[in-house]
Amino acid sequence: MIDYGKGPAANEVEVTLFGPGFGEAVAIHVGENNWMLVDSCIDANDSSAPASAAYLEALGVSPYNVRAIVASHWHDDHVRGISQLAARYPLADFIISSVFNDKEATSFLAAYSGSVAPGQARGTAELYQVIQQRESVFYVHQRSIILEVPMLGRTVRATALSPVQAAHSQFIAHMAHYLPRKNGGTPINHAPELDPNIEAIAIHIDLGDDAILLGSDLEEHDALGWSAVVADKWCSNRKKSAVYKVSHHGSYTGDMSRIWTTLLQPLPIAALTPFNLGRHKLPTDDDKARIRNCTPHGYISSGVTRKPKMSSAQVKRLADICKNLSQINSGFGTIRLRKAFGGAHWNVECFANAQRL
Amino acid sequence: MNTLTQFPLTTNAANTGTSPISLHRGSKSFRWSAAARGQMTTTDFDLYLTEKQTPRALLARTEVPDIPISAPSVIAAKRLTASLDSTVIQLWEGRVIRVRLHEGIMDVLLNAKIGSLPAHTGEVELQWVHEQDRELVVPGAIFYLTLYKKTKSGSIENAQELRFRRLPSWSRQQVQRIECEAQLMLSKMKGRPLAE
Repeated sequence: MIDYGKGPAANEVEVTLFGPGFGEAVAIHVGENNWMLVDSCIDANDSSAPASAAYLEALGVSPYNVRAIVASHWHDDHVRGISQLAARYPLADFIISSVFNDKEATSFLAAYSGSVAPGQARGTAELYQVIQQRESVFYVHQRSIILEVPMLGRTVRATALSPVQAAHSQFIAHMAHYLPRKNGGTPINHAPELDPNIEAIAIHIDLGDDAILLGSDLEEHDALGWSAVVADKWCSNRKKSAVYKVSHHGSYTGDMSRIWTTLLQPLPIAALTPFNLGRHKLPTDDDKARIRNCTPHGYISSGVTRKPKMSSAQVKRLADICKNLSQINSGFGTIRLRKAFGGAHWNVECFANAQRL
Repeated sequence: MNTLTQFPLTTNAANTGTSPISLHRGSKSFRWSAAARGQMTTTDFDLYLTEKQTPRALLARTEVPDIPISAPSVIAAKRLTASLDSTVIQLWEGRVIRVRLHEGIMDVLLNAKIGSLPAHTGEVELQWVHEQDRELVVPGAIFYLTLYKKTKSGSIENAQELRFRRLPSWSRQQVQRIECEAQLMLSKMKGRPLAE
Protein backbone atom coordinates (compact mmCIF):
# COMPACT_ATOMS: atom_id res chain seq x y z
CA MET A 1 0.00 0.00 0.00
CA ILE A 2 1.27 3.44 -0.92
CA ASP A 3 1.23 5.98 1.90
CA TYR A 4 -0.01 9.19 0.33
CA GLY A 5 -0.14 11.16 3.56
CA LYS A 6 -2.69 13.90 3.96
CA GLY A 7 -4.97 15.41 1.41
CA PRO A 8 -4.55 18.91 -0.01
CA ALA A 9 -5.52 21.96 2.00
CA ALA A 10 -8.64 23.84 1.00
CA ASN A 11 -6.57 26.56 -0.67
CA GLU A 12 -4.31 24.15 -2.51
CA VAL A 13 -4.62 22.91 -6.05
CA GLU A 14 -3.41 19.42 -6.80
CA VAL A 15 -2.81 17.34 -9.91
CA THR A 16 -2.10 13.65 -9.33
CA LEU A 17 -1.20 11.32 -12.17
CA PHE A 18 -1.47 7.55 -11.81
CA GLY A 19 0.32 5.24 -14.22
CA PRO A 20 0.52 1.46 -14.00
CA GLY A 21 2.38 0.91 -17.24
CA PHE A 22 -0.77 0.22 -19.19
CA GLY A 23 -3.27 2.86 -18.30
CA GLU A 24 -3.54 6.37 -16.98
CA ALA A 25 -5.71 8.40 -14.63
CA VAL A 26 -5.63 11.93 -13.25
CA ALA A 27 -7.19 13.34 -10.08
CA ILE A 28 -7.40 17.12 -9.80
CA HIS A 29 -8.24 19.07 -6.66
CA VAL A 30 -9.52 22.49 -7.67
CA GLY A 31 -9.83 23.81 -4.13
CA GLU A 32 -12.10 23.48 -1.10
CA ASN A 33 -12.37 19.72 -1.46
CA ASN A 34 -13.74 19.81 -5.00
CA TRP A 35 -12.32 17.13 -7.25
CA MET A 36 -12.34 16.30 -10.92
CA LEU A 37 -11.24 12.93 -12.29
CA VAL A 38 -9.94 12.37 -15.79
CA ASP A 39 -9.80 8.82 -17.17
CA SER A 40 -9.29 5.71 -15.10
CA CYS A 41 -6.81 2.91 -14.59
CA ILE A 42 -6.55 0.07 -12.14
CA ASP A 43 -4.96 0.41 -8.75
CA ALA A 44 -1.68 -1.38 -8.11
CA ASN A 45 -2.88 -3.16 -5.00
CA ASP A 46 -6.34 -4.14 -6.07
CA SER A 47 -6.69 -5.40 -9.60
CA SER A 48 -10.36 -4.52 -9.66
CA ALA A 49 -10.36 -1.05 -8.13
CA PRO A 50 -9.83 2.23 -9.99
CA ALA A 51 -6.65 3.96 -8.88
CA SER A 52 -8.34 7.36 -8.46
CA ALA A 53 -10.99 5.92 -6.17
CA ALA A 54 -8.40 4.14 -4.04
CA TYR A 55 -6.46 7.40 -3.76
CA LEU A 56 -9.45 9.51 -2.76
CA GLU A 57 -10.50 6.90 -0.22
CA ALA A 58 -7.01 6.94 1.25
CA LEU A 59 -7.30 10.70 1.66
CA GLY A 60 -10.74 10.45 3.21
CA VAL A 61 -12.49 12.35 0.42
CA SER A 62 -16.26 12.06 0.45
CA PRO A 63 -17.83 10.63 -2.73
CA TYR A 64 -19.98 13.75 -2.91
CA ASN A 65 -16.96 15.98 -3.43
CA VAL A 66 -16.21 14.68 -6.91
CA ARG A 67 -17.74 17.17 -9.31
CA ALA A 68 -16.85 15.75 -12.70
CA ILE A 69 -15.53 12.58 -14.29
CA VAL A 70 -14.10 12.89 -17.77
CA ALA A 71 -13.54 9.99 -20.15
CA SER A 72 -11.13 11.75 -22.46
CA HIS A 73 -11.55 8.99 -25.02
CA TRP A 74 -12.68 5.38 -25.17
CA HIS A 75 -9.40 3.51 -25.39
CA ASP A 76 -9.07 0.57 -23.08
CA ASP A 77 -6.03 1.88 -21.21
CA HIS A 78 -7.79 5.13 -20.28
CA VAL A 79 -11.18 3.91 -19.14
CA ARG A 80 -10.55 0.78 -17.09
CA GLY A 81 -12.79 1.07 -14.07
CA ILE A 82 -14.40 4.34 -15.12
CA SER A 83 -17.85 2.83 -14.80
CA GLN A 84 -16.98 2.07 -11.17
CA LEU A 85 -16.01 5.72 -10.70
CA ALA A 86 -19.32 6.83 -12.16
CA ALA A 87 -21.18 4.54 -9.78
CA ARG A 88 -19.11 5.55 -6.78
CA TYR A 89 -19.44 9.29 -7.35
CA PRO A 90 -23.10 9.78 -8.21
CA LEU A 91 -23.10 13.58 -8.10
CA ALA A 92 -20.24 13.92 -10.55
CA ASP A 93 -21.16 14.94 -14.08
CA PHE A 94 -19.92 12.36 -16.54
CA ILE A 95 -18.20 13.92 -19.53
CA ILE A 96 -17.36 12.27 -22.86
CA SER A 97 -16.12 13.39 -26.24
CA SER A 98 -18.67 14.96 -28.55
CA VAL A 99 -17.87 12.34 -31.19
CA PHE A 100 -20.28 10.09 -29.27
CA ASN A 101 -23.16 12.48 -29.75
CA ASP A 102 -24.19 10.65 -32.87
CA LYS A 103 -26.44 7.75 -33.78
CA GLU A 104 -23.61 5.82 -35.40
CA ALA A 105 -21.40 6.28 -32.36
CA THR A 106 -24.03 5.08 -29.92
CA SER A 107 -24.83 2.23 -32.31
CA PHE A 108 -21.18 1.30 -32.06
CA LEU A 109 -21.39 1.26 -28.27
CA ALA A 110 -24.58 -0.79 -28.36
CA ALA A 111 -23.26 -3.23 -30.93
CA TYR A 112 -20.07 -4.02 -29.03
CA SER A 113 -21.14 -3.61 -25.45
CA GLY A 114 -24.92 -3.73 -25.38
CA SER A 115 -27.26 -6.58 -24.72
CA VAL A 116 -26.45 -8.32 -28.01
CA ALA A 117 -22.73 -7.67 -27.87
CA PRO A 118 -20.00 -10.29 -28.07
CA GLY A 119 -18.90 -8.72 -24.82
CA GLN A 120 -15.18 -8.35 -25.41
CA ALA A 121 -14.67 -4.67 -26.15
CA ARG A 122 -13.58 -3.31 -22.79
CA GLY A 123 -13.34 0.36 -23.68
CA THR A 124 -16.81 0.60 -25.12
CA ALA A 125 -18.15 -1.62 -22.34
CA GLU A 126 -17.08 0.89 -19.70
CA LEU A 127 -18.74 3.80 -21.51
CA TYR A 128 -21.82 1.76 -22.26
CA GLN A 129 -22.24 0.86 -18.60
CA VAL A 130 -21.96 4.48 -17.54
CA ILE A 131 -24.56 5.64 -20.03
CA GLN A 132 -26.82 2.84 -18.86
CA GLN A 133 -26.38 3.92 -15.23
CA ARG A 134 -26.93 7.63 -15.71
CA GLU A 135 -29.96 9.63 -16.68
CA SER A 136 -27.70 11.89 -18.69
CA VAL A 137 -24.09 12.24 -19.75
CA PHE A 138 -22.46 15.36 -21.12
CA TYR A 139 -20.50 15.68 -24.33
CA VAL A 140 -17.84 18.29 -24.92
CA HIS A 141 -15.78 19.59 -27.80
CA GLN A 142 -13.46 22.52 -28.32
CA ARG A 143 -14.45 25.45 -26.06
CA SER A 144 -16.95 23.47 -23.98
CA ILE A 145 -16.91 24.16 -20.26
CA ILE A 146 -16.24 20.98 -18.34
CA LEU A 147 -16.23 22.41 -14.83
CA GLU A 148 -16.59 25.87 -13.38
CA VAL A 149 -16.14 26.41 -9.66
CA PRO A 150 -15.96 29.69 -7.70
CA MET A 151 -12.90 29.36 -5.55
CA LEU A 152 -11.42 31.76 -3.05
CA GLY A 153 -12.43 34.88 -4.88
CA ARG A 154 -11.71 33.55 -8.35
CA THR A 155 -13.28 31.10 -10.79
CA VAL A 156 -11.54 27.85 -11.59
CA ARG A 157 -12.60 26.76 -15.04
CA ALA A 158 -11.82 23.57 -16.92
CA THR A 159 -12.47 23.75 -20.65
CA ALA A 160 -12.00 21.36 -23.54
CA LEU A 161 -9.45 22.25 -26.21
CA SER A 162 -10.47 19.29 -28.36
CA PRO A 163 -11.94 17.52 -30.21
CA VAL A 164 -12.45 20.00 -33.00
CA GLN A 165 -15.79 19.85 -34.76
CA ALA A 166 -14.33 18.32 -37.90
CA ALA A 167 -13.04 15.33 -35.94
CA HIS A 168 -16.60 14.19 -35.50
CA SER A 169 -17.11 13.08 -39.08
CA GLN A 170 -13.74 11.32 -39.21
CA PHE A 171 -14.61 9.31 -36.13
CA ILE A 172 -18.01 8.33 -37.45
CA ALA A 173 -16.58 7.30 -40.81
CA HIS A 174 -14.09 5.08 -39.00
CA MET A 175 -16.67 3.43 -36.76
CA ALA A 176 -19.17 2.95 -39.57
CA HIS A 177 -17.09 0.04 -40.89
CA TYR A 178 -17.88 -1.98 -37.79
CA LEU A 179 -21.58 -1.30 -37.48
CA PRO A 180 -24.29 -3.84 -38.23
CA ARG A 181 -26.12 -3.27 -41.48
CA LYS A 182 -29.81 -3.71 -42.11
CA ASN A 183 -29.22 -7.20 -43.42
CA GLY A 184 -26.95 -8.13 -40.51
CA GLY A 185 -23.23 -8.47 -40.99
CA THR A 186 -20.62 -10.08 -38.80
CA PRO A 187 -19.38 -8.39 -35.66
CA ILE A 188 -15.70 -8.14 -34.87
CA ASN A 189 -14.29 -8.66 -31.44
CA HIS A 190 -12.74 -5.28 -30.91
CA ALA A 191 -12.71 -2.26 -33.18
CA PRO A 192 -9.26 -0.82 -33.85
CA GLU A 193 -8.76 2.71 -32.59
CA LEU A 194 -8.82 5.68 -34.92
CA ASP A 195 -5.28 6.57 -35.91
CA PRO A 196 -4.21 9.27 -35.25
CA ASN A 197 -6.31 9.94 -32.18
CA ILE A 198 -8.17 13.15 -32.95
CA GLU A 199 -11.20 12.42 -30.80
CA ALA A 200 -9.61 12.77 -27.35
CA ILE A 201 -10.45 15.61 -24.99
CA ALA A 202 -7.46 17.79 -24.15
CA ILE A 203 -8.29 19.92 -21.11
CA HIS A 204 -7.15 23.36 -20.01
CA ILE A 205 -7.71 24.22 -16.34
CA ASP A 206 -7.54 27.93 -15.58
CA LEU A 207 -6.67 28.48 -11.92
CA GLY A 208 -6.71 32.26 -12.12
CA ASP A 209 -3.01 32.81 -11.51
CA ASP A 210 -1.85 29.64 -13.23
CA ALA A 211 -3.07 26.87 -15.47
CA ILE A 212 -2.82 23.16 -16.12
CA LEU A 213 -2.83 21.41 -19.51
CA LEU A 214 -3.96 17.76 -19.69
CA GLY A 215 -3.04 16.39 -23.11
CA SER A 216 -4.86 13.04 -22.90
CA ASP A 217 -3.88 10.99 -25.98
CA LEU A 218 -4.55 13.71 -28.51
CA GLU A 219 -2.19 13.36 -31.46
CA GLU A 220 -0.98 15.65 -34.13
CA HIS A 221 -2.95 16.12 -37.31
CA ASP A 222 -2.91 19.15 -39.63
CA ALA A 223 -6.57 19.95 -39.40
CA LEU A 224 -7.89 17.86 -36.55
CA GLY A 225 -5.21 17.34 -33.90
CA TRP A 226 -2.83 19.57 -32.02
CA SER A 227 -2.24 21.82 -35.00
CA ALA A 228 -5.94 22.65 -35.01
CA VAL A 229 -5.81 23.37 -31.29
CA VAL A 230 -2.84 25.75 -31.35
CA ALA A 231 -4.10 27.42 -34.52
CA ASP A 232 -7.43 28.23 -32.92
CA LYS A 233 -7.40 31.77 -31.61
CA TRP A 234 -9.45 31.00 -28.56
CA CYS A 235 -7.23 28.06 -27.56
CA SER A 236 -4.00 29.92 -28.14
CA ASN A 237 -5.26 32.76 -25.94
CA ARG A 238 -5.70 30.48 -22.92
CA LYS A 239 -3.52 31.21 -19.93
CA LYS A 240 -0.22 29.40 -20.44
CA SER A 241 0.13 26.34 -18.25
CA ALA A 242 2.88 25.63 -15.78
CA VAL A 243 1.93 21.97 -15.57
CA TYR A 244 1.54 19.67 -18.58
CA LYS A 245 0.28 16.10 -18.58
CA VAL A 246 2.17 15.11 -21.69
CA SER A 247 0.05 13.86 -24.52
CA HIS A 248 0.05 10.26 -25.69
CA HIS A 249 2.63 8.91 -23.31
CA GLY A 250 5.32 11.22 -24.62
CA SER A 251 5.23 9.90 -28.18
CA TYR A 252 6.33 12.05 -31.10
CA THR A 253 2.86 11.58 -32.65
CA GLY A 254 1.35 13.41 -29.67
CA ASP A 255 3.84 16.24 -29.78
CA MET A 256 4.45 19.40 -31.71
CA SER A 257 6.64 22.36 -30.91
CA ARG A 258 3.81 24.86 -30.75
CA ILE A 259 2.29 23.08 -27.77
CA TRP A 260 5.36 24.13 -25.79
CA THR A 261 5.53 27.65 -27.18
CA THR A 262 1.84 28.54 -27.41
CA LEU A 263 0.12 26.68 -24.59
CA LEU A 264 2.83 26.27 -21.97
CA GLN A 265 5.00 28.50 -19.84
CA PRO A 266 8.77 28.19 -20.32
CA LEU A 267 10.19 25.09 -18.67
CA PRO A 268 6.91 23.69 -17.37
CA ILE A 269 6.56 20.64 -15.17
CA ALA A 270 5.86 17.75 -17.54
CA ALA A 271 4.34 14.55 -16.21
CA LEU A 272 3.61 11.45 -18.25
CA THR A 273 2.76 7.78 -18.01
CA PRO A 274 4.41 5.05 -20.02
CA PHE A 275 2.59 2.72 -22.36
CA ASN A 276 3.76 -0.85 -22.68
CA LEU A 277 2.19 -3.39 -24.97
CA GLY A 278 4.57 -6.09 -26.15
CA ARG A 279 7.32 -4.45 -28.16
CA HIS A 280 5.36 -1.24 -28.44
CA LYS A 281 6.73 0.91 -25.62
CA LEU A 282 6.29 4.61 -25.02
CA PRO A 283 8.08 6.88 -24.41
CA THR A 284 11.06 5.80 -26.45
CA ASP A 285 14.53 7.02 -25.58
CA ASP A 286 14.17 9.63 -28.33
CA ASP A 287 10.87 10.77 -26.84
CA LYS A 288 12.46 11.18 -23.43
CA ALA A 289 15.34 13.16 -24.92
CA ARG A 290 12.93 15.41 -26.81
CA ILE A 291 10.91 16.14 -23.67
CA ARG A 292 14.04 16.78 -21.62
CA ASN A 293 15.07 19.23 -24.29
CA CYS A 294 11.83 21.15 -23.69
CA THR A 295 11.99 21.10 -19.89
CA PRO A 296 14.30 19.75 -17.20
CA HIS A 297 11.27 19.16 -14.98
CA GLY A 298 10.02 15.93 -16.48
CA TYR A 299 8.52 13.07 -14.47
CA ILE A 300 7.26 9.64 -15.43
CA SER A 301 4.93 7.50 -13.35
CA SER A 302 6.82 4.29 -13.95
CA GLY A 303 10.22 3.28 -15.18
CA VAL A 304 10.82 -0.21 -13.97
CA THR A 305 11.02 -3.37 -16.00
CA ARG A 306 7.90 -5.43 -16.17
CA LYS A 307 8.99 -9.00 -16.16
CA PRO A 308 6.22 -11.43 -15.38
CA LYS A 309 5.69 -12.20 -11.71
CA MET A 310 3.94 -15.51 -12.12
CA SER A 311 5.47 -18.61 -10.63
CA SER A 312 8.39 -19.85 -12.66
CA ALA A 313 6.41 -22.93 -13.68
CA GLN A 314 3.59 -20.81 -15.08
CA VAL A 315 6.00 -18.50 -16.85
CA LYS A 316 7.80 -21.46 -18.36
CA ARG A 317 4.59 -22.99 -19.64
CA LEU A 318 3.35 -19.77 -21.14
CA ALA A 319 6.77 -18.89 -22.49
CA ASP A 320 6.73 -22.08 -24.58
CA ILE A 321 4.22 -20.29 -26.76
CA CYS A 322 4.43 -16.62 -25.87
CA LYS A 323 7.71 -14.71 -26.13
CA ASN A 324 8.72 -11.38 -24.58
CA LEU A 325 6.22 -11.77 -21.79
CA SER A 326 5.65 -8.61 -19.82
CA GLN A 327 3.28 -8.03 -16.97
CA ILE A 328 1.16 -4.95 -17.23
CA ASN A 329 0.46 -2.95 -14.12
CA SER A 330 3.65 -4.01 -12.44
CA GLY A 331 5.34 -0.63 -12.51
CA PHE A 332 2.63 1.41 -10.84
CA GLY A 333 3.63 4.90 -9.82
CA THR A 334 2.06 8.19 -8.86
CA ILE A 335 3.20 11.75 -9.51
CA ARG A 336 1.58 14.39 -7.31
CA LEU A 337 1.86 18.14 -7.78
CA ARG A 338 0.52 20.64 -5.27
CA LYS A 339 0.54 24.39 -5.01
CA ALA A 340 -1.29 26.92 -2.92
CA PHE A 341 -3.56 29.24 -4.85
CA GLY A 342 -1.50 32.33 -5.57
CA GLY A 343 1.69 30.49 -4.69
CA ALA A 344 4.75 30.59 -6.89
CA HIS A 345 6.01 27.03 -6.81
CA TRP A 346 4.63 23.56 -7.39
CA ASN A 347 5.69 20.85 -5.01
CA VAL A 348 6.35 17.56 -6.80
CA GLU A 349 6.17 14.17 -5.09
CA CYS A 350 6.89 10.77 -6.62
CA PHE A 351 5.34 7.63 -5.14
CA ALA A 352 6.15 3.97 -5.77
CA ASN A 353 7.83 3.64 -9.18
CA ALA A 354 7.39 7.24 -10.29
CA GLN A 355 10.65 9.03 -11.02
CA ARG A 356 12.29 11.86 -12.85
CA LEU A 357 12.33 11.50 -16.58
CA MET B 1 3.64 -54.05 -18.39
CA ASN B 2 4.75 -56.02 -21.36
CA THR B 3 4.91 -54.46 -24.73
CA LEU B 4 3.13 -56.77 -27.11
CA THR B 5 3.93 -55.18 -30.40
CA GLN B 6 4.09 -51.89 -32.18
CA PHE B 7 1.46 -50.74 -34.64
CA PRO B 8 2.78 -48.35 -37.24
CA LEU B 9 0.38 -45.43 -37.55
CA THR B 10 0.55 -43.46 -40.73
CA THR B 11 -1.72 -40.42 -40.96
CA ASN B 12 -0.02 -37.99 -43.27
CA ALA B 13 3.45 -36.91 -44.10
CA ALA B 14 3.58 -34.49 -41.21
CA ASN B 15 1.91 -36.65 -38.68
CA THR B 16 3.44 -40.06 -38.65
CA GLY B 17 4.12 -41.87 -35.49
CA THR B 18 4.09 -45.18 -33.79
CA SER B 19 2.98 -46.10 -30.39
CA PRO B 20 3.49 -49.23 -28.38
CA ILE B 21 0.40 -50.99 -27.18
CA SER B 22 0.77 -52.35 -23.72
CA LEU B 23 -1.12 -55.22 -22.16
CA HIS B 24 -0.90 -56.59 -18.74
CA ARG B 25 -2.50 -59.38 -16.76
CA GLY B 26 -6.24 -58.89 -16.49
CA SER B 27 -6.36 -55.91 -18.82
CA LYS B 28 -9.66 -55.34 -20.51
CA SER B 29 -8.56 -52.31 -22.44
CA PHE B 30 -5.49 -50.59 -23.70
CA ARG B 31 -4.55 -46.96 -24.09
CA TRP B 32 -2.99 -45.41 -27.15
CA SER B 33 -1.16 -42.13 -26.96
CA ALA B 34 0.49 -40.10 -29.67
CA ALA B 35 1.99 -36.69 -30.05
CA ALA B 36 1.04 -34.56 -33.02
CA ARG B 37 2.06 -30.93 -33.42
CA GLY B 38 2.68 -30.55 -29.76
CA GLN B 39 -0.69 -32.01 -28.85
CA MET B 40 -1.12 -35.22 -26.96
CA THR B 41 -3.98 -37.49 -27.79
CA THR B 42 -5.06 -40.35 -25.62
CA THR B 43 -7.60 -42.88 -26.72
CA ASP B 44 -8.85 -45.92 -24.86
CA PHE B 45 -9.76 -49.05 -26.73
CA ASP B 46 -11.74 -51.89 -25.27
CA LEU B 47 -10.06 -55.21 -25.57
CA TYR B 48 -12.43 -58.05 -26.34
CA LEU B 49 -10.98 -61.38 -25.26
CA THR B 50 -12.35 -64.84 -25.75
CA GLU B 51 -11.70 -67.50 -23.17
CA LYS B 52 -8.72 -68.66 -25.14
CA GLN B 53 -7.38 -65.20 -25.70
CA THR B 54 -6.27 -64.55 -22.18
CA PRO B 55 -3.55 -61.99 -21.67
CA ARG B 56 -1.06 -64.73 -20.86
CA ALA B 57 -1.92 -66.55 -24.03
CA LEU B 58 -1.67 -63.37 -26.03
CA LEU B 59 1.63 -62.47 -24.50
CA ALA B 60 2.99 -65.86 -25.42
CA ARG B 61 2.35 -65.33 -29.08
CA THR B 62 4.86 -63.72 -31.32
CA GLU B 63 2.62 -62.72 -34.18
CA VAL B 64 0.18 -59.85 -34.15
CA PRO B 65 -2.92 -60.93 -32.26
CA ASP B 66 -6.23 -61.11 -34.05
CA ILE B 67 -7.88 -58.38 -32.08
CA PRO B 68 -10.30 -55.92 -33.66
CA ILE B 69 -8.29 -52.73 -33.44
CA SER B 70 -8.52 -49.80 -35.77
CA ALA B 71 -5.81 -47.19 -36.00
CA PRO B 72 -6.90 -43.74 -34.77
CA SER B 73 -7.80 -41.37 -37.57
CA VAL B 74 -5.98 -38.15 -38.44
CA ILE B 75 -8.72 -36.10 -36.83
CA ALA B 76 -8.43 -38.09 -33.63
CA ALA B 77 -4.68 -37.63 -33.68
CA LYS B 78 -5.02 -33.84 -33.92
CA ARG B 79 -7.88 -33.41 -31.53
CA LEU B 80 -6.88 -32.79 -27.99
CA THR B 81 -8.74 -34.90 -25.54
CA ALA B 82 -8.65 -33.87 -21.93
CA SER B 83 -8.78 -37.32 -20.48
CA LEU B 84 -9.16 -38.15 -16.84
CA ASP B 85 -5.47 -37.78 -16.14
CA SER B 86 -5.06 -34.40 -17.81
CA THR B 87 -5.52 -31.12 -16.00
CA VAL B 88 -6.08 -27.63 -17.33
CA ILE B 89 -3.47 -25.56 -15.58
CA GLN B 90 -4.45 -22.25 -17.09
CA LEU B 91 -6.83 -20.75 -19.59
CA TRP B 92 -5.67 -17.48 -21.10
CA GLU B 93 -8.07 -15.21 -22.92
CA GLY B 94 -6.08 -13.29 -25.44
CA ARG B 95 -6.66 -10.32 -27.68
CA VAL B 96 -4.61 -9.62 -30.76
CA ILE B 97 -3.13 -6.16 -30.58
CA ARG B 98 -1.06 -6.19 -33.72
CA VAL B 99 -0.18 -8.66 -36.46
CA ARG B 100 3.31 -8.61 -37.97
CA LEU B 101 2.85 -10.85 -40.96
CA HIS B 102 6.36 -10.47 -42.31
CA GLU B 103 7.70 -11.70 -38.97
CA GLY B 104 4.97 -14.30 -38.47
CA ILE B 105 4.14 -12.85 -35.08
CA MET B 106 1.13 -11.40 -33.34
CA ASP B 107 1.37 -9.08 -30.36
CA VAL B 108 -1.16 -10.10 -27.77
CA LEU B 109 -2.71 -9.10 -24.47
CA LEU B 110 -3.41 -12.04 -22.17
CA ASN B 111 -5.83 -12.30 -19.27
CA ALA B 112 -5.83 -15.38 -17.08
CA LYS B 113 -9.21 -16.94 -16.51
CA ILE B 114 -8.11 -19.13 -13.61
CA GLY B 115 -6.96 -17.43 -10.45
CA SER B 116 -6.10 -13.77 -10.13
CA LEU B 117 -2.99 -13.42 -12.22
CA PRO B 118 -2.32 -9.99 -13.69
CA ALA B 119 -2.65 -9.37 -17.37
CA HIS B 120 0.39 -9.86 -19.58
CA THR B 121 1.51 -8.84 -23.00
CA GLY B 122 3.67 -10.90 -25.30
CA GLU B 123 4.33 -12.21 -28.77
CA VAL B 124 2.95 -15.41 -30.24
CA GLU B 125 4.22 -16.97 -33.41
CA LEU B 126 1.51 -17.51 -35.97
CA GLN B 127 2.51 -21.16 -36.34
CA TRP B 128 0.70 -21.83 -33.07
CA VAL B 129 -2.56 -20.78 -34.67
CA HIS B 130 -4.72 -23.61 -35.97
CA GLU B 131 -4.96 -23.55 -39.76
CA GLN B 132 -8.70 -23.21 -39.56
CA ASP B 133 -8.31 -20.01 -37.56
CA ARG B 134 -5.68 -18.21 -39.64
CA GLU B 135 -8.24 -15.98 -41.31
CA LEU B 136 -9.40 -14.80 -37.90
CA VAL B 137 -6.03 -13.37 -36.91
CA VAL B 138 -6.66 -9.63 -37.07
CA PRO B 139 -6.21 -6.84 -34.54
CA GLY B 140 -8.91 -7.10 -31.95
CA ALA B 141 -9.55 -10.80 -32.45
CA ILE B 142 -10.09 -12.86 -29.34
CA PHE B 143 -8.52 -16.27 -28.76
CA TYR B 144 -8.28 -18.81 -25.99
CA LEU B 145 -5.00 -20.45 -25.08
CA THR B 146 -5.48 -23.53 -22.94
CA LEU B 147 -2.51 -25.07 -21.20
CA TYR B 148 -2.79 -28.68 -20.07
CA LYS B 149 -0.71 -30.93 -17.91
CA LYS B 150 -0.97 -34.66 -17.93
CA THR B 151 0.56 -37.05 -15.50
CA LYS B 152 1.23 -40.58 -16.53
CA SER B 153 3.21 -43.07 -14.54
CA GLY B 154 5.29 -40.38 -12.97
CA SER B 155 5.98 -38.45 -16.14
CA ILE B 156 4.45 -35.10 -16.98
CA GLU B 157 3.37 -34.24 -20.47
CA ASN B 158 2.51 -30.73 -21.51
CA ALA B 159 -0.08 -29.80 -24.07
CA GLN B 160 -1.72 -26.63 -25.30
CA GLU B 161 -4.40 -25.49 -27.64
CA LEU B 162 -4.92 -22.08 -29.18
CA ARG B 163 -8.26 -21.41 -30.83
CA PHE B 164 -9.83 -18.21 -32.00
CA ARG B 165 -13.27 -17.04 -31.13
CA ARG B 166 -15.78 -16.98 -33.96
CA LEU B 167 -18.70 -14.63 -33.79
CA PRO B 168 -22.03 -15.35 -35.41
CA SER B 169 -23.53 -12.81 -37.74
CA TRP B 170 -25.98 -10.34 -36.32
CA SER B 171 -29.58 -11.35 -36.70
CA ARG B 172 -32.26 -8.93 -37.79
CA GLN B 173 -33.62 -8.88 -34.25
CA GLN B 174 -30.21 -8.04 -32.87
CA VAL B 175 -29.77 -5.22 -35.35
CA GLN B 176 -33.12 -3.82 -34.28
CA ARG B 177 -32.17 -4.09 -30.65
CA ILE B 178 -28.90 -2.30 -31.30
CA GLU B 179 -30.79 0.51 -32.98
CA CYS B 180 -33.15 0.83 -30.02
CA GLU B 181 -30.32 0.90 -27.51
CA ALA B 182 -28.43 3.42 -29.60
CA GLN B 183 -31.43 5.71 -29.73
CA LEU B 184 -31.91 5.47 -25.99
CA MET B 185 -28.27 6.31 -25.33
CA LEU B 186 -28.39 9.22 -27.74
CA SER B 187 -31.36 10.65 -25.87
CA LYS B 188 -29.20 10.87 -22.75
CA MET B 189 -26.50 13.00 -24.36
CA LYS B 190 -26.50 16.62 -23.23
CA GLY B 191 -24.24 19.42 -24.39
CA ARG B 192 -22.18 21.70 -22.19
CA PRO B 193 -22.12 25.47 -22.47
CA LEU B 194 -19.32 27.04 -24.42
CA ALA B 195 -16.72 29.32 -22.90
CA GLU B 196 -16.66 32.87 -24.17
